Order: sequence, then C-alpha cells, then structure tokens
Amino acid sequence: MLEIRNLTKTYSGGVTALHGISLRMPVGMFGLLGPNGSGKTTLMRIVAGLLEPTAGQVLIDGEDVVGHPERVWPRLGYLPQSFGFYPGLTGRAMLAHMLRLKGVSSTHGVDALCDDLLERVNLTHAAKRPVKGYSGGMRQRLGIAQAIAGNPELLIVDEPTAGLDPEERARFYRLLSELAENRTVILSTHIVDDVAVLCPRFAVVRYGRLLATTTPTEARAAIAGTMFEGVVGRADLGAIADRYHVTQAFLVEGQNRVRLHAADGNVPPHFTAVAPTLEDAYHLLTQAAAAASTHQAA
Amino acid sequence: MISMPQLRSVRIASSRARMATIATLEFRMQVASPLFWALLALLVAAISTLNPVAMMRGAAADGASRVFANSIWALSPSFAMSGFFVYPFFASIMGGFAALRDDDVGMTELLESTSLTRREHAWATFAGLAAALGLAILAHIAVLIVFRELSIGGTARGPFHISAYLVPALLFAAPTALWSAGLAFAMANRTRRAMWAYALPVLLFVAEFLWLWNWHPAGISRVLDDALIMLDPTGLRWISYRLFATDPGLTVVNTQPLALDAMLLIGRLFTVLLPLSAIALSARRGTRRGEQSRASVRQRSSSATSQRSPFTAVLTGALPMQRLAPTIATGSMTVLWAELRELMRRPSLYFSTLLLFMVVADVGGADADAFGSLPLLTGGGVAIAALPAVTVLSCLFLLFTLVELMHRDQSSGFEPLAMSSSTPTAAFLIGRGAASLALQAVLTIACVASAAVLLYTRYGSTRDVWPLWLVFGGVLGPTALLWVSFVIMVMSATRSRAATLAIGFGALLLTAAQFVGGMLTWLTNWPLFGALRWTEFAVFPLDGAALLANRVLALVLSVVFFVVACRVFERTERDPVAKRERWKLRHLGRTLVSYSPLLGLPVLVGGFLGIRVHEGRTLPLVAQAAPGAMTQDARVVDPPSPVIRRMDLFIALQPAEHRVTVTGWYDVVNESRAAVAHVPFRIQRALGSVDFLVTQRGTAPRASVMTPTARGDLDLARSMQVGDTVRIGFHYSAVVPRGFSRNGGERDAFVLPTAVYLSTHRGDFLPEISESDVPNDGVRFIPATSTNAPTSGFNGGRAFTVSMRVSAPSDLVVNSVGAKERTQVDRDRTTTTWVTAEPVAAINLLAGRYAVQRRDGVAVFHLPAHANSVPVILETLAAARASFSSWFAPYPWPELRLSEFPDFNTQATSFPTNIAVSEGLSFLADTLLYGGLPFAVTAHEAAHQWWGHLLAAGDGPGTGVLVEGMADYSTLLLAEQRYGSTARAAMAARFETQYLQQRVAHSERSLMETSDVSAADGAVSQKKGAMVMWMLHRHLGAERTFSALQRFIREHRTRRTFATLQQLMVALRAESTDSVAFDRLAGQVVLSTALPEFAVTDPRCQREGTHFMCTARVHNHGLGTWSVDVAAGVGDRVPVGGRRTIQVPAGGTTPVAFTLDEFPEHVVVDPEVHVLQTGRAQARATFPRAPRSARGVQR
Repeated sequence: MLEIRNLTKTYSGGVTALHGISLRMPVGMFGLLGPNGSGKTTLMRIVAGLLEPTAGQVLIDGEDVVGHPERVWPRLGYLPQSFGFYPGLTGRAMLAHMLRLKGVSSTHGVDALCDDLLERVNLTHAAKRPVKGYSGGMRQRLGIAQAIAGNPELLIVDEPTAGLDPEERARFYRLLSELAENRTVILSTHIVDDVAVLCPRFAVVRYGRLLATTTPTEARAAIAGTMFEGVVGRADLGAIADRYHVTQAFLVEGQNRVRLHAADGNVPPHFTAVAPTLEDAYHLLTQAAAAASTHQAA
Repeated sequence: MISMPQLRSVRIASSRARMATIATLEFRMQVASPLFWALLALLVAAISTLNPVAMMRGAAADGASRVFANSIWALSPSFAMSGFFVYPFFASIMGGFAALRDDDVGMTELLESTSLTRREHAWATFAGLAAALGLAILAHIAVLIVFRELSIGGTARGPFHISAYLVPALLFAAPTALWSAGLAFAMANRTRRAMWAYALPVLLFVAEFLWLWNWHPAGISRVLDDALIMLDPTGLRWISYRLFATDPGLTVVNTQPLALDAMLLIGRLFTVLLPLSAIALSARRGTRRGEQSRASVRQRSSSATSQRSPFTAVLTGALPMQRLAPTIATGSMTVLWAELRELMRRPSLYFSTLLLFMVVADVGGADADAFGSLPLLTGGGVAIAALPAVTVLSCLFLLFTLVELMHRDQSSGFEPLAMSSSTPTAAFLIGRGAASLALQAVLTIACVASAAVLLYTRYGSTRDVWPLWLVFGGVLGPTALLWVSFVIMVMSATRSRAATLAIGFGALLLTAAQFVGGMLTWLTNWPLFGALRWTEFAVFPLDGAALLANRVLALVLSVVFFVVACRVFERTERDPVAKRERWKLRHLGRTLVSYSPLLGLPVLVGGFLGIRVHEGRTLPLVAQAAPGAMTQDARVVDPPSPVIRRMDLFIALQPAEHRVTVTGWYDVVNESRAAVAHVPFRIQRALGSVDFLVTQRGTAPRASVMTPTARGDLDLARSMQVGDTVRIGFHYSAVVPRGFSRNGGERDAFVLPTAVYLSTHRGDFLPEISESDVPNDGVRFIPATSTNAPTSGFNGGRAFTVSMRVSAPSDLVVNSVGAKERTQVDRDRTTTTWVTAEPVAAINLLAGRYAVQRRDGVAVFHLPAHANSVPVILETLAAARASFSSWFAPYPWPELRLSEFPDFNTQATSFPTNIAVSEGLSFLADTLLYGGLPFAVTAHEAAHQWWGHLLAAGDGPGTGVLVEGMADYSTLLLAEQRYGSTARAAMAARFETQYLQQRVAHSERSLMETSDVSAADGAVSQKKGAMVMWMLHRHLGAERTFSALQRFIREHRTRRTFATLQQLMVALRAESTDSVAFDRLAGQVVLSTALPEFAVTDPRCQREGTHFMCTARVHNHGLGTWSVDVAAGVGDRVPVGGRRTIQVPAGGTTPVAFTLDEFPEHVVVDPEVHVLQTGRAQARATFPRAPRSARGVQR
C-alpha cells in the first residue's frame, strides 16, 4: 500500500508543482492522469525517492520514503519519463549493468536473465548493438525491461507508452496488467486510453491539485446521459462553443465532430446522445479545474 | 519583387542578427560559468602571491635602484606567466565545452533545423567565448593596476603608463588565451569529443616545460630557436632567451619600451591565426552529432522493424528472478566494471599513458651538465626527477577522467535509473574512484616502463627498477588517492563539471604558487613538490619518517574526503526550502559537530607533522643586523675576541637513534687588547642545551648550562687578561637532524644509520664563540650592498689544532680532518682518533659504509656501488695535490682525502684534509670528457686546501676572488696541465658563459669592490675572478705568477691576518717586469667592469701566387683596450701564419692580415679563450669562398 499525505512541492523559482496532494494506492494498477505540466512527473520523482518534497509524506507499507528513500529503492521498479543509457554499451551489457545495480539475479545467471528480459520486450535482435543506435521506442523498451526486472513491489512508469508503436503498446499493456496482479503499479500518463485500458482506479491532477480519484466506470457513470455528439460546420464551431459546453472537437473523415456535455439535455437538434467515454469525464474534470483556476486568478 | 542585391543584404542582415544573438548568449553563459569566476579568482591569487620582478635578474639590486614593478619589462613576464599557468587550462575547457554545449543539452538538432548555418554558429559561439576571455583579461589588467600602482607587496614602482599593461596583455596573455580557446573549440567542434579540451592544455604544459620554454641547449641554431619562438604561444621563450638573454640594465628596464623584434611579432601573429584557421576548417568540415545520430537511427530503426518477431505472450512471472540489494562491495565492482569498459574505449587513456611515457623518458634522462658529463642514472634518481611532472600530469588526467565519469550519468540521462537503483551511494563513488585509480595504475606502469627502458638503453640492464615502483607506486599512490577522493568530494558537492574543474585547477595552481613561494611544508605539501631527494646510501634515510607521516596524512584525508563525499552526494534532489535551512548557522554547527569524529585522525597525524616540522626549523639564531648597517659604506664588525686555539673532542655516534654525543674542551685565548669578563657563546637549536665547565687557573671550576641562544655569556671567575687562556669544557647530546625538515630538500648535517655528516660549516655541530663587544685587531667588512645579516665563520675563521676521538658502530668508516692517529675496536664499535698538527679553521666528520681507494697521498671514500668516476677523482686529487703543492705551497698535511656523502644537498665543501662531495656532484657521472664534472669539482675543492685553508681571506670586498676565483683559476691550470689547452679553453668558455648568464650588468661592481652577497656577485668573484687571474697569469708568465702566489700564501698562512685582493695584486705587481702594462691590465680587469665585445667584419681572402692574403677588421664594441689573439683557421686547426695578436681599443677597429699557404675557412678572435668577453658568437666570421679557379691547390 502506497500512501501519499499532503504532498507539497515548491521549486526554487517559487513555482508550486504540487498542492497538498493526498492519495492511497492499493495493490494493483493505479493511473495518474493529467495534462502536461500538471505535476505528475514531480509526484512520480518524489515517490521514487529522487526528489525531496517541500512538505508531506510518502509511505510504502508504513515506510517513510521522504526520510529514507534508500528503503524504497530495493523495492522499486522505475521507468522515468526522460532517461538514457551509456551510449557505448550494448543493450544487453547495459541491461546487465542495470540489473547488477539493482541487485537482481537469477539462478541461470544475470546474462541469461538479460536475454529473457530482452525477449519479453522484443529486443533480442538488438541485444548486441550499442544503445546509441537504438530508436526511441527501442530505448523505451529497454527501459521497461530494467524497470520490471527483479519483480519490484512498487512499479512506477512515467509516460511509458510514449514512442511505442501500437503493437508494442499493446504488448506493454499486457505486461503491465500482468505485473499489477500482485504489486502496486503507478502509471503516470496524459493518454486517457492508457488509463482506460489498464487502470481499475485512477486520479486526475491538474495545476498540482488532485481533481478526482475514481474508477473509469464511476467516471463514465457520473456523466451518463449528459453527453451528445454531432457534426458541425467549420463556420458554426465558434457559435456552438459559445453556447454549449464542448468537451471535445475532433475531425472524423474530414468532418468536425463535436461532443457536448449537457446535463439538461438542451443541445442542438442534430446532436444525438452518446455513451460517455473516460475521455469525456477527464475533459470535464480538467476543464472545470481550468475554469476554477482562471476564476481564482481573476 | 526583391532584387538580388536586396536579397543579399537582407540575408547578410539576418545572418548578422543570428550571429549577434548566438554570440551574446554564449558570452552570457561563459560569464555565468564557474570556470570564468575561478579564472578571475586564480588570476587575482597569482597576482597577489607571485611577483615576477623577483624572478628577473637585477631584482635584488639594493637601495633605490630597483626594477619598477609597473614597468613594461616587469609586466611582460607577469602576463606571459599567467598566459602559461592560468589561461590555457580555463580557456581550453571553456572553448571545448562551448563547442559541445548544444549536444549536451540536446539543442543540436533544433539548431540544425533553423536557418543558422554551421559557419555562423561556430564563429558566433567563438566570438562570445572570445569576448568573455577578453573581459577576463581586462579584469586581469585592472587587478594588476591596483596591485602594482598601489605598491601592494612593497615593490618599487615608476610612473603609471597604461600601455605598460595593455601591450604585454595583448602580446602575451591574449594570444595564449585565444590559442587555447580557439584550438580546443575547433577540435571539439570537429570531433564532438570533450577530450581535446582537456588534452590541449596538458600538451601545451608538457611542450612548454620540455621544449618550447625550457629547452635551450648551448649552441642551438638560430633557425630552430626562431621556429620554437614562433610555435610558443605563451611568448615565454622569447622573453627568456631574447628579451632577457643578457641583463638589459636597470635604466632600460625601468624607462624604455619593450624591445620588440620581428620574430616575436611573427610568433604572435601565428599564435592568433592558427586557432582562427582551425575554427574556419572545423566550421567547414565539422559534422553535427545530430546528423550522425539521425542517419544511424534511421538505418537501425528500419532494421529493427524488419526483424520484429510476431506477437508473443508476455509472462514476467515465469522469469526466475531474485532481488537482493547490492552491498557496497558488489555495487562498487559493478560500477567499476562499467567504468573500466568506458575508460578502455576512450582515447584519453592511451593518450595519457603515451604522454607520461615520453615525459618520464625526457625528464628522467638528464642532460649533460655544464662540464659535459652525463649524469649516471639510477632508478631512484630518475623517479625523483620525474616525480613532480608525473604528479602534476597524473592529477590532471585523474581530474579530467573523474569529472567525465561522474558526469556521464547526467549527460547520458542514465542518472534517474542509476539513482533509483538499490546500489549504495558509496558504491557509485568507490567504483568511480577505483576506476580512476586503475587509470593511475596504468600510468604508474607507463612511468616505470619508461624509466626502465631508459635505464636499459643506457646501461643494458634494468637492475635498478625497484625504486621506480617505490616512487611511482608507493610515494605517488597516496597522492593519487587523496586527489581522487578530493575530486569525488567536490564533484559530489557541486554536481557540476565546470565547478569541479575550476576548483581542481585552482587547488593545483594554488599549491604550485605556495611551492614557488616557499610556503609548503611536510604538513601541507600533499603532492610532495620539491620535498624528496634520492640517495643511494639508503631509502629516504633522512626524511623517511616525515615522508611516511605525510603519506599517512594523505591516506587519512582521502578517507575523510571520501566519507564527506558520500554524505554530500545527493541522490535525492534537495528541496530549496530545506537547503536554505541547512545553511543556517545552527544547522551548520550541527553538521560540523557531526563531522568532528572524522577529523580526529587527520588532526592527530597533522598535529604530529606540524610539531615535528616546528622542532626542525633551522632559522639561524643570529641577531639581525641594525638597519643602518645596510646603507653605510663599510662597517667594521669585530670577530670573536677570545678565540679557540685548541680543542679536544670525544664524539660518540649512535646512528640508529640519529644521535651524537659530544664531550670536549676548548683552550680559549684572549687575543684582544683588553681584558674580558666573559666568553660569549652562540648555541644553535640543533645542539639543545649544553653543559659548560670553565676551568681557569687559580679559580674553582664553574659549571653552567646554556640553552640555544644567539648570544649567551659564559661568565668567568676572573677576567681574562690579554694573552690569558681558559679551558672550557662542554657536553651535549643531540639528535641530528632534530625534528623534520620544513619541506624536505637540503640538509647539511645528519646522523643516519648509513651516513653521517657533521661540520662546523654552519655552526650546528659545536658550541660557537660569538662576536665580542671588545675591539681587537681583526678586521672584517660588511659592504654597503649587503642584504645579509653579518655572520661569522666558526671561531671567526681563526685556526686551531684538534684532537678528536670518534666512537661509531664498526660498520661505518669514519673520516675527519687531520691525520688518523689510531683505531681501537671494542665489540661492535670502533674508536678512531684524529689529530691535526697543522692548525685548521674548520672541521668535519663524515661516516659511511665506504670503500676506500688510495694513491700518492690522496684517498677517496665512496660507496662501493659508486666506483664509476672514482679513478678520475683519485687521479685529479693526486694531480692537484702534487701540482698545487708545486705551484702555490707544499701541502702541509699527510693525506688529502675526499669523502662522498648522500645527495641531500648537491654540493661540495672543502674542509682541511677532508673534502666532502655529495654523490650527485661527482660520483654519479657517466661520460667523462676531460674528466667532466668529477675533474672540475675535485680540482676546485682541492684548490681550496690552499685558497681558503692555507690562505685565509677576509670578508671584505674582493676577497671572494681569493677563495672561489682562485679555486677556479687553479682548476683551469690543472685542466691545461692534464688535458691540454683545448680542455682549458673549453672550461674557460664555460666559466665565461656562466659569468655572463648570472651577472647583473647594471649593478655589477669591479672585482675589487665585489662582495659575495648574491648569486650574481658570486659569479663575478668566481668566474670572472678565475678568468682575470688567468689573464694576469698570461701577462706575467707562469713562473712569475707562481712566485708571487707562493709569497702571498706564505705571508698570510699564519691566519693572524686575513688576505685581501689588494694584497694579491701588490704581490703580482711585484713580479711584473712592466708595471705600467700590468697596471693597465689590472686597472681594466680588477678595478673596473670593462669588458670587450669583439665583432669581425669584412673578411676577405685573395690568392697571390702560392699564398692567400686574407684580411679582416676587428671591432671592439665594448669597453677597454685589449690585446687579443686573432686566428684564421681551417676547422679546429690554425695553419702557419694564421695567428696574430692585435690591440683593439674601446669603440675602435683594428685591421688584421694573414698570409697563408692554404685557404682559411674562418677568422676567430681569441680562439683559445684567454680574454673574458661578451658576445663571443659575433667574434668570428667566415671567409667568402673564392672562385674555384682562384683557390689553388688545397692542402
């Protein structure tokens, strides 16, 4: 069980990245959803023991991470948002080095374990190639391999699917869901699909504040019957946005499709009721937070 | 529609705007960098601690005649030295980092996608960098102005001229800074590697020390010298060998503009153009890493896609993995292994290894000495000679390597992964430290291999390799460990590559500055600069304990630095609020308290070292002279009034404890004109407390104790009347040397298990009677130019007889003054008795595990392993005894001995009957042309038996000639007798060169007025004195000269009067058959500073029948009228008719003509080096070759 209590982080320029966030994350997959700059990475780095908060606590099974980060590291698998490897080492050597740093071993030896892990992330063919020649996706997969090594009790993955093609993303989803069966996995992402697919429970953050902690089903249920979708001409987009609560506007086969939130069912005539998605719920939450923030600033 | 010219002007304007943006940004980043501020701090430190004026000849000129510290001549070396020591390191790193910064921050590809061209980017970045360096130079000038114009440091100064600062800054500092920054920038831009930023200053440092600045062998060709001046970016070579080739004189230095020449200007131009060309080339051909990586990624990504396997199930749970947090040991090994792999990939490993190999071979393989001898190399000698250079280079390589290794996680992006792993922090630091030490091990092997190859190529064996391991491994190892832990600590604390490099350079440069300023001690000298001397007598027998304590301190501090590094290394990025809390006084206090247990051991070891160094301080206990004494023309200082006429000594040596116990009696006589109530004694610190017992006829013996003092009076029971004698007994037991030396280096007195050297030379062997306040007959002069406190030789230079019994362990052979009367062996100790029937004025006592070789009344005591040059020493000693006895006076003692002592002080001192010579001065000599250094040293020191012991000179002006000058003159005589006139001429030429190199023209006085108060005065007395005596010898003839010298010695041998140069001149003049000619010559060479400077012009040869009629014109651009030989020669041979003697007046020209049977090649003035002169290189000319038809038959 990971517990975050009143976590606040203020950087030296006076920017507050986290405003007293409190969360409880049981065993299983937990999503942390928020737009870029919402404070997700700051929160992940604090939980990983790499960043000291200004205030607050992070406890893993009652163990204080902030005071003693070295106690979390042996239990941690971490895939940061931004990372790199020694460019001169081969993928296999780099992974072996990382495994040794983490103290991960196998009855068949570290090298055999490396081969197995590389196979899991589909990098066997590039195992003997220097990392400097890897594509972004290959590096990401190598990062995933080191993160999952050693069966960590806590796995933190920060924007893990960035750079992965759909096939690799699907593989990674399966991998994460399997890992989440018996450990806490924190998935930090701005991609709603990631959460929708993987997370039974998630939190939404924006401007360093916790907007909601819920499940995808609850989130969707909360707005059931209030979502409508229709096709709008380009010239009418502005007028629709002014009059209605537009949650999303996107192009489908060259046509502007607009989704509206209307609790009272008052929508333009050609709009039809649709089943709410997690993305609708997310956008409603973040838009509300943005409006509140603008109101506060005013 | 825009026309082409408009388009072009728009493009140019746009390009300029882009470049201005880049340059401004670069300038701001450079100025904000820690390197920039460290550069400024070090420049201020260098200016405030180092005064280049002190390094200039003539700086010690007395009174008001001093070099102005703000003259352009004084400021030029200052800027050039900064250009060498400070600018290259900082400018290179700043340049290299500027070229690679975009790669580091991932901006390269973004920039590539803009309209900014590669050329614009390179030049604009360099412009910003150059502007930052320009700002640093301006700050340098400003600080110098403050220091020099406000006379901080108390130096003399003249009127303020801004050009005196600007011109040297532009000539020396700016080109060096531009050279370093530009080349490093260009190389890094071209190769995309930081290595060049590090390698360039190291290469420059080595090249300057080995070739560009320091390498200037006699006879180097002008073309090569010019080429080196052009290549030298610092300008130091030009300053050393052109600007100050000869002393320009105080007036010139203080008032004239810099004497620039074309070669300097060409060199400066080359220094600036080289980096600019390199940048132009790199901007044209350089590749951006982004391009490479994009291409390679494209290629590899496609191959990756093609090899992708079909979708497979993912089952991590099936993998058999365990996780156990690594221990410090296993974690360290993991990190070490990764770092070693990285190191082996880097060219810097091979570059540094090769460079150290070359440096050791060059520095260790010492050049021939002034007498043409090659030193005999020993493993320890080579290692100690190379140690400073190896230490500095190792520290630089370790600094660069560690900084890059520790920065690698940050630059590669691996840091969050590594830091969140369960490997302990200490393991990361230990692993990287161990990798650096592995590099040090490779460097050590390279050093040992280089020295071993050197020894093998010289002597065909590598038997002497163990000292190499000892020095490069055992001695240097702790330095490397300390440095590595220091760098790790700094990098851990700052997490900044630039800040760590800046602090590292700062630490090295400040240590070097402290060394130059003489401020280092065993306590602070962590790199052991100048502290170690090698001797073959034993392994570090003198300062071994100090060295051991110093090394232990280094190891202990390494541990402290490492522990601090572990504490300050922040794996978790600290919160700024918490950081501010930590800097509060209360928290700092708590932190200090928490560190205090760590400091216990270093404080203990450091305290021990400090106390022992304090105990060993060797400051003389002589009272300071009154300030007035320095400005008076002359002042009479009375010698000791009661003087020792006889001493009986019993000396017990306990070498294992470094102890000497002396019990003795002085028979003291009152030779003054009045009664004395007490005998004043001076007790040096080395003796500790001394027990005295005074026995005076008719009174009861009086005992007293005296502690170290400049002057303590031993009261007498009854006043000593003139001519009365008292017997003073004394006893002391002292450890010699007491405590540790300040910083190793020279020691003149020691009692060691393998060697003993004690003497009255420095008054730290026996209690010494000090000056009396009662006037007497003795006359000693303190010249007005003296900067030294008045000192007194033992017993005021008065002679006494000695009976000395010495008890020592039987494995030591003891040697002392006088004749060995008897030897008595008692168990493992031997007691020898030495007696001097002929009075002596100084005594010494040497002991060692000697082999002895004897012949013809002479003996050489030497280490058995040092037999190489003993035959030459023995032959020279025998020849000197025989010849000097015949020329000057019969040698009064039964045997003349020469004893070797350890090379703690490379010098030789002639004591009566027993000459002490250090091993490095004669015994470790290899090639022996004309006897080489062993001949020169032996002959010179043997001559002191006559000139210094049989004849005692006063302390007044000119009397240095009677001791050192006459000894060198005697050496010239003996060289001619044993090896012929060619050897004598070669030696005379060396004397002339040494004199010209060391003299300070503007303050030089005539021989008659010179007092040996500086090295320049010493060169005048010794080298010019010897040449002048040789000129007088030639004028009078050998027979008359020797007759005069014999009478002169006879008259002064009693030692009741002290000889002067005037008296010698009187004695020589008395033998002259033409006193007018003698007076003319003596007036020029003894009473004035006149020197000829000959030049030959207009050499012509014409065939007349079977002969060649050759003419030339000889000019004297110097002073005085001189009779000098002129020879027309072929090679070294002078054919019949090829020699003339002419008179050349000051400023005059004398034609010279030869009639020869063969065509001569050249005409030379003074071919046999009889006349001391300056500018000898111009005193020769080559005859133009006649047409073949006109040459006739060549013989």
